[in-house]
Amino acid sequence: MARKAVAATLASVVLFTVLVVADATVMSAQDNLASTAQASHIESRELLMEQSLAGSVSLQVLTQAQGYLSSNPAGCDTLSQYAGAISAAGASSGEDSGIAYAANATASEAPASSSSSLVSPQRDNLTIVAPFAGDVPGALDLQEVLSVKEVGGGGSVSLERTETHTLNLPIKIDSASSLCAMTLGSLATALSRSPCNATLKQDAFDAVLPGLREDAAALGFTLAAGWVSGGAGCSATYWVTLVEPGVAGATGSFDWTVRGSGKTTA
Amino acid sequence: MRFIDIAVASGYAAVCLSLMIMMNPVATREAAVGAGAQSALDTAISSYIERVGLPFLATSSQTAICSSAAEASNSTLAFDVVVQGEACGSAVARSSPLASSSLTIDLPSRTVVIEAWLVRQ
Repeated sequence: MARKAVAATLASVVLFTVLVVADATVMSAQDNLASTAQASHIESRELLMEQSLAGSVSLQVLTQAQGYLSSNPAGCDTLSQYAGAISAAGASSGEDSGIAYAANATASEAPASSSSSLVSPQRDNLTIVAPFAGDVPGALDLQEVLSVKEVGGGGSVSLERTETHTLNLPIKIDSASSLCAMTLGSLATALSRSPCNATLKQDAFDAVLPGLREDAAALGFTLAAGWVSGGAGCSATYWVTLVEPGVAGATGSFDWTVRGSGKTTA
Repeated sequence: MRFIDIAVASGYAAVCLSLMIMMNPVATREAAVGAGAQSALDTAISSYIERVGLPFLATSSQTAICSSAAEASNSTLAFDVVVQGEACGSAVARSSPLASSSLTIDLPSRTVVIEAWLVRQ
């Protein structure tokens, strides 16, 4: 009887031990699954944040460039250097869902080889800021150096990326350049060929202006122009203002202005 | 002898049962399922942002943004977008979702929060 009791006890011990080991094995597997799922979740979260951070700092860059364009009229004679003067930067940092992040971007004029020589738009993989991603021939193209760093999961899951992208703002630099040359040239010709008389010069100016306005309108610009007598002799000073209205910028539309002037000699 | 035997067996059984209760795999399985759902929602938010683009979220009206959120929603997934603290307010099952996720984006002109839920059927 006693042996049977001991045997039953031992059997129970073995049974319970097997149950505990089995439970521990399942628990361990579930724990691994949970850890993997958690790490995967942190990774997907970091990718999502990387995407939105890259886009938001790029928009900051575009907004700064847009602000420069709208508040700094270009000069007809300095159009080629105008884009080179543009410099913009954006940054963002903080913590979200246990992931610490820092992103920054700097941008300046894109090298000529990747912008002006192109005849068709070139795509960029920063599609989250489309249509401002990529090269657009004749527009303002910016080269952006973008850096994103994220650390999550107590340091176990990190993401670090530094990329170069091309952004654009759709002002028509090439069109403005050709309009400048054509308009100033036409005004110079009209004013210099007319006799040395204010009324006749005004007539010559008025005769050529409507055609110039039409040419400007055809390229999406409005044109204002004027002239004054140079005083001494028969010289005249003339000026033009070209405005590209309602340029679709990254944070709303804006006007871009180009100014030029010239002088005829007596 | 018999008394000791019963006491040891009962004690061991109690310890084993306690261990089995403590090592309940259900909690970790639920955590794994929850993390998987969160990943799916983050991917959905990513797809939505990629589709509409940040310039759209930065410049469009609340009505247009809410329309895009409604278009992106379906019977199992609901989106809402909060622009400068103002939500679309049309999201389904906000009260008892299976899982939810959100992303705050600081845009130059406004702050946008994109929220997504897995809808309980």
